[in-house]
Amino acid sequence: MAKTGTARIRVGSAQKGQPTQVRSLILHPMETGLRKDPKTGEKIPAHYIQKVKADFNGERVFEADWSVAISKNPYMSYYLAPQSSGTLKMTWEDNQGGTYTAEAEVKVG
Amino acid sequence: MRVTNDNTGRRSFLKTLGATGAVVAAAGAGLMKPVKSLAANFQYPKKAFDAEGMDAAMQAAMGTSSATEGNVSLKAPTIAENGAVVPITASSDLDADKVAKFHIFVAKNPAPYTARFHMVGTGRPEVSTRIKMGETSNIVAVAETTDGKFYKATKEVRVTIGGCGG
Repeated sequence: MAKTGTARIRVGSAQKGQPTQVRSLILHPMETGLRKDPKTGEKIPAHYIQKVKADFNGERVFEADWSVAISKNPYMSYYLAPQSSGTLKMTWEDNQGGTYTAEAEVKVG
Repeated sequence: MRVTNDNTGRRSFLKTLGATGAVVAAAGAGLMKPVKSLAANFQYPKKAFDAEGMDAAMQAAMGTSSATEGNVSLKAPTIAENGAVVPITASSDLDADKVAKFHIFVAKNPAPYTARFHMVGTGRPEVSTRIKMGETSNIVAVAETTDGKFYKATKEVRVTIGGCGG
């Protein structure tokens, strides 16, 4: 079964200094805290990702703050202009203390 | 830093001082990179995300509720069949290093402020994600420049099934 926090990063082919698209996906319920369990009628507690950080070779290149209005299993894309080959590391942090990471190798051709 | 308990005389003091001096010199010579990436830890804007109503949300998020039309484009579907998953793309025709942040608002959501993106070093001012919409509403994308100007683009998205119900 798909597990919360499973994440994937795809980076397009990279040329030195040229922006290339980074696409990311993470499995997460993104519960707003407003929904009720249809069976029990009880409120489902809020559980959503608040922060996303992206570091390329240890240096921050992009950061995002999310509210509860980001869709379930959040997708996000942005750009990276690498000067050299390296590792892109992303970290997702949710409001219940969950921290998830994924990495992608970026090869500058 | 090394700490010694047994010999706290003049010699060890000088040794420690010497070591510190070396570190300072290394930092000065650029051998140790300044930790720019840590400085980029932006505080999570909880209050702004909780703010109700467009004006209050924009004020809380950006310190102003006014932004100039233009320089920003917002791609989103005209009709969204499923309000739970509405794909959006915000971009700007300004230079990449001029755009500091993108702010996304959904006017009629209970709390309009949806997301904030920090373009620390991305090379192109463009970002995409998928958002939830409770009902038909305007989406507003705002680009905040490094010199503190705000530019916006607005697009109405018609929602046939709301995305916030159970």
